[in-house]
Amino acid sequence: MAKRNNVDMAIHIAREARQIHGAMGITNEYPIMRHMMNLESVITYEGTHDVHLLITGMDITGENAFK
Amino acid sequence: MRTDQYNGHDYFNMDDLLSEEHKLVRDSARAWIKKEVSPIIEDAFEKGKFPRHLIKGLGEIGGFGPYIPEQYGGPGLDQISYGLLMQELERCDSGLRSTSSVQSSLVMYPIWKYGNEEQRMKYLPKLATGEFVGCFGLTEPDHGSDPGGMTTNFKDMGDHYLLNGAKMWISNAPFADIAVVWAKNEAGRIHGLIVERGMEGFTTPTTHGKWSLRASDTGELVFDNVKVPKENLLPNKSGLGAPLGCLDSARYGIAWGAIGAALDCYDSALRYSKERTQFGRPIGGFQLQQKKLAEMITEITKAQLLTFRLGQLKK
Repeated sequence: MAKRNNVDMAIHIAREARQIHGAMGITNEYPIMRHMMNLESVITYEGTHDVHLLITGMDITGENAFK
Repeated sequence: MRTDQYNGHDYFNMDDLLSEEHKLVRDSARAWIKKEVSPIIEDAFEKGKFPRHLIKGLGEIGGFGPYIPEQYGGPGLDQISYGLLMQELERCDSGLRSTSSVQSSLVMYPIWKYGNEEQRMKYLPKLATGEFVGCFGLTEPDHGSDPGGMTTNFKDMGDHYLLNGAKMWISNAPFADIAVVWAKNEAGRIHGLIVERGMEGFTTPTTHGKWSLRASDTGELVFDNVKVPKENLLPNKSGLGAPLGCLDSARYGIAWGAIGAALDCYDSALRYSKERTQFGRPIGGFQLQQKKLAEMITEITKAQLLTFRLGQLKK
C-alpha cells in the first residue's frame, strides 16, 4: 500500500514539476524527465500498481480478485 | 554542469522523530551522492550504463544490506536507516536505488533469512562491501504478476541439481557475480538456488532499448543445463512465500525511495519558481504555480508520515 501510494504520488509530482520548469523541464539541465521515466519502471516492478490495489482489496474483503 | 543544491524538505519536523544515527546515515549518504554521483548521473543515464566504479562507495555508505547484522559483515542498522538510505539514493536516481535495493532485499535478505550459516558466512560479507554483486531471478518472460506459474525448474541428479529455464527484467544481471534464482523442483515446489557466474550453461544477456532506469543495468538470466551444487540451495524456506518475502522488504525500500524522487522534483521546481520571472514577477507568485507546489509538499509530507510509521511497524 505504501509503495503504491508513494510511487503514484512521485509520478504526479514529476509531471507537475516538469510543467513548472516550462520548456527547460524537458532538458537534462534538470533531473525531472529522468525521474519521470525512471518512475514508470518503479510503478510496475516488484509488484504492479494494479496488483497492489487488488492485494489491499483482498485484505479488506477476504475475496481474491486476481486469481 | 549543474550544482547539486538539494537540501531536503521537512515540513512537519520529521527530523524530531529520527535518532542521531539516522541523521548521520542520511547525511553521509547525501554528502557522498553530491560529491560522487550527482556530477555523473545524467551522463550515465544518457549512456545507458550503470557506473560500476560507484559500487565500493555504495558499500561504504551502508547501501548494501543496511539491516544485515554486523556478524555477517553488514552495517547492522535499523529499518528507518534503511529507508532513509533508499530515499537519498532515489533522490539522485531510481536506478542507483535499484542496484542497492536488489543487493540488499533480494540477494542478502534471502541468504540471511533462508540460507544456512555456511551460506551466510560465504556470501554476506562480500556482498556488504560490494566485492560481490548479486541479482534476483523471479520474473520470467511469461510470468510477471503471476510468478507462481514459473517454468524454470531443477532436477535432483544425485550429487548436484540440474537447472533449466530463463528469467527476464533482472536488475544487475549483466555484471552480477551471483544470482538468487527461484525455480521449481520435480514436485513443483519453489526453492531458491544460488547460481554463480562462471557455472557452465549460465549466461546473462543485457536488455537494450530501455527508456527508463537507464543508469541501472538490466538483463536476462539463461540456464541451459546448469549444474548447481547441492549446497547452493537455500534450505530454510520454500514455496512462493519465500521470494514474496524478499519483495516485501524491497517494496518497503521503494516506498522510501519514491519520496526521494518526489523531493528532488519538488526541490527543483520550488527553486525554479523563485528564479524564473515572467510578466515582471517570479512565477512562484502566481496562484496556479503555488497550487502545484503546495499540493506537492502536502503529498510528500503525507507519504513521509505513512512511510515512517511503516518503518516503526517493521521493527
